[in-house]
Amino acid sequence: MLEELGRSQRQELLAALEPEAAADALDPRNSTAGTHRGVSFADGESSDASSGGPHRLSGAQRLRRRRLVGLFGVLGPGIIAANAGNDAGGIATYASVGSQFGYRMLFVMVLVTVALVIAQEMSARLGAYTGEGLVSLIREQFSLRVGAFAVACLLVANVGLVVSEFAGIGAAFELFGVSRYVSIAVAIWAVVTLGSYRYAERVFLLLSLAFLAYPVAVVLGAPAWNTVVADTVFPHLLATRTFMLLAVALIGTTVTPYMQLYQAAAVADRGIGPDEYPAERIDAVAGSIFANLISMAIIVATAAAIGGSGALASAKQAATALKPVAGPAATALFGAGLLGASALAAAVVPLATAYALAKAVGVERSVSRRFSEAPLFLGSAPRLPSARRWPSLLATSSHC
Amino acid sequence: MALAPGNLIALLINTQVLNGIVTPIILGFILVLANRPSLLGDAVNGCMFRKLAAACVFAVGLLAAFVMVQLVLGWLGVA
Repeated sequence: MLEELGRSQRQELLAALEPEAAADALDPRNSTAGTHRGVSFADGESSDASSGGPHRLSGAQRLRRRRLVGLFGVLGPGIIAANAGNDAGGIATYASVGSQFGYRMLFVMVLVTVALVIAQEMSARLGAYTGEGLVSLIREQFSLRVGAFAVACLLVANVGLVVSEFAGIGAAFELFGVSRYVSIAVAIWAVVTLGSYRYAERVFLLLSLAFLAYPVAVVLGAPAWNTVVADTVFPHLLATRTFMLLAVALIGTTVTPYMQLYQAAAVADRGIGPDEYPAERIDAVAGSIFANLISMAIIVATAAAIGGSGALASAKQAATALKPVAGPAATALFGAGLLGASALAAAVVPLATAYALAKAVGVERSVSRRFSEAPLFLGSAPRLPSARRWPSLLATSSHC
Repeated sequence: MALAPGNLIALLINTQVLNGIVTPIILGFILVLANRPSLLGDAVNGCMFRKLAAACVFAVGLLAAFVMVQLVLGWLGVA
């Protein structure tokens, strides 16, 4: 009977049932799912399947998802997702905007905030009402070719992001006088060999809190408030090449695709359903607005410090925006924040990509061959399932 | 790639531009999904929300397309 219902109806029905029962009833394709589970459990993941509360996900999936979400368990998905946008690329972009155009980009930032709120809200809603992540939704709802296109786009964007996070780590260390050739090589080595770095992760999270100094810097830095307000409220664009380029960079770094992936996946994984959705909507919207207020603070503080001095040349220059708060320690504070944010994102982004890929290659074997280089690249990701466990990830992802 | 000599800030900005070009595509997918009543039932996008979101995706897409054309023309040495 379940097979006759549409997928979404089925899920609504299941959400109403006891989750334990739902797990059994969920899969009309239980026979195939069973074999998939067999594969993953044989791979040594079964220990986790017995632990944990009732959940719609299989044990192996839950384990991986928990790794992704676990660290941030206390915070709402919306807050985390949106604030993940304030990573190395974000800081560099906001600081460049402030340095090059002063306050003039603030209006664009308002538009971007609207876009971000809309994107995060829709992602959260999709996660809550379907119990699925965006990639599996795209896979189900679109043709194979279209789905593959979406995943290819995500892959390209995330490869760029990973590069930028390591560039951020390099830039942070250069502030402390360490050559980027040494620091990036060491960072990649550490990430590859240490794999899971739980405690380091917490340190990085703490370090990234350094960016909360920006709003303080805004107040202490005494920007031209009239201009700030005027440039925020009144619409204006400059039709120059650099302005357009930076505007797109601003969009790309604020409404980053992986933030939407994370938002939907985190909502679905935490079992936030339609009933809890009103609270989650507040989380998603407030998180987006909060993140962009920080972003705007970065722009304003940088503009007040070095606005109009042309393109941002170095991280050291960007750090001067924090002088009103930290004085001579501004460089160190900025460096700490940059290092924390980059290292944290360097750990999370590849994982999000791995999910997207795993889901996509779960569709058909031929696609998995096309992406066969991916594990090599993604192998550099911390906590990424190693090549040995890769097949089980594929197997478990195909029935969710 | 991050090891390449040169300006790290420029590299950071360029990767964000790349993201900005992908963003409208993914937003388009999300919008189409959230517009489907078969998927979301009662929670499907309302009329106003749909229009606002479509306008957003369109604006973001327009900017991205503009920059992409500029970049490609730049590579070809036209502009």
